[in-house]
Amino acid sequence: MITINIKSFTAARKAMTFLQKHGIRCIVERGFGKGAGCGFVLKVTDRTANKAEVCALLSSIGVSCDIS
Amino acid sequence: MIYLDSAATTFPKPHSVYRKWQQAMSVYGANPGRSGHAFSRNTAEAVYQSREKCAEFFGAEPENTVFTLNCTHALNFAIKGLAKRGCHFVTSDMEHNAVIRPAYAAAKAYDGGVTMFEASLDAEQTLHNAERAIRPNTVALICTAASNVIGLRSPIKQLAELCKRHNICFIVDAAQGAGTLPVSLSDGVNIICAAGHKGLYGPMGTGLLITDGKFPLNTIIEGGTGSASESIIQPDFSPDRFESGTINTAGAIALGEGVDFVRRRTPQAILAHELALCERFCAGARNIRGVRLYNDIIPQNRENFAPVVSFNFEKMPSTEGARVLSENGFYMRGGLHCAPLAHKKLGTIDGGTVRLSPSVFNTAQEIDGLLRVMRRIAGN
Repeated sequence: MITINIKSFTAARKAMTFLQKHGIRCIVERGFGKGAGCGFVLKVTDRTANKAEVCALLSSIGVSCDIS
Repeated sequence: MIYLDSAATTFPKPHSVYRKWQQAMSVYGANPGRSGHAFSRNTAEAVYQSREKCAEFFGAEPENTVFTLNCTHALNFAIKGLAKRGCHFVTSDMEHNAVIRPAYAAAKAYDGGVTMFEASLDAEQTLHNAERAIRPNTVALICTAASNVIGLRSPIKQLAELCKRHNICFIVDAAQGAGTLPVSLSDGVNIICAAGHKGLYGPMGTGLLITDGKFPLNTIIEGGTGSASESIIQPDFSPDRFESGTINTAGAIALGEGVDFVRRRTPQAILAHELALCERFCAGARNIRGVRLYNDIIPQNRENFAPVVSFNFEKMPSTEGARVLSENGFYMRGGLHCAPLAHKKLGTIDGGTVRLSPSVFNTAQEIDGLLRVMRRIAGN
């Protein structure tokens, strides 16, 4: 599973909608990433998704791809 | 009771807004974006959905759509957020104190200045006046979408082009325009400040700060955001950067329902309905001896106005006029409407005006009833 740290819930939620529009299943959860303080994680539950594709999609909407 | 004070806040709200607010109070009771449990996540999700609706309505991204307490709160974020040493602001003479006071306070704090330009019925003249007010150290031009006293509309698209040409931030005070007038980032506006509880039919205690992200804003309030909590420095990402402390969660969620209502009815249809009521009122009031209209809306000039009409009974001050109307069941505001320069221009700085501002729920029969009462009060 690909897990991406995102600082803001709004950015995480926007990313989720965007990935789902591209057929990639994912969910948002509260996360406490190392050095990231209280943040959120976008968990890509779609096993067919690959990191490069996901990161490229996130980059296109201004969300950085901090994979944990 | 016939409520005609929608420029202050709309009432009633759509039933869907009441239902959503009640649901939010009982179902979305946890703090959004703070805890990881399902109760908090569900609330955060409901807030996000409302944020997304508001963003789409103004042509913005969700992260650049900030929930505030009201339009004044948003304007303070925008104006003071741009302030720096020696900064200069440009505003029109039709502005509400929600613009004038923060601009003057920021200018005073940073040894800067404020220049007011004269807004005119002639858009070209307004643009000419605005451009003459711009200086090398101007950081922003702040302009109302429509006067809250006489409804005079500003040439938003042309002012946006002017600001772009001078590389200054264009802030629109959409307190009286959001929900009826076309105000969108797609017109070149950099920052839109809106009340949630007026033309967007949300609850009081809601407002919006909408930005295109091109002009970074300093913060005027810092605190907990539920994000980047390891840092003692305010987050640099929006909306968290501007939403310190718990937001008005139920209000924000219900505001999304208000925006849905406006989208269903369409801003164009709402504007047409409300302007028709104002024209009906003006057509009747201009023939009442002893009543003075300060903006007479007719089919030929309706493009210049938002649905707001100021008037007075010649024999009594505006507050007395509003009181007598209130006793007859018609609720409107009398006084200065927090826009002193507009009143100076109209010559009503001493007595103010009575202001009629209908909503989508008012009817022609109510306007006819008001006119009958006004004829009686004026002794016709």
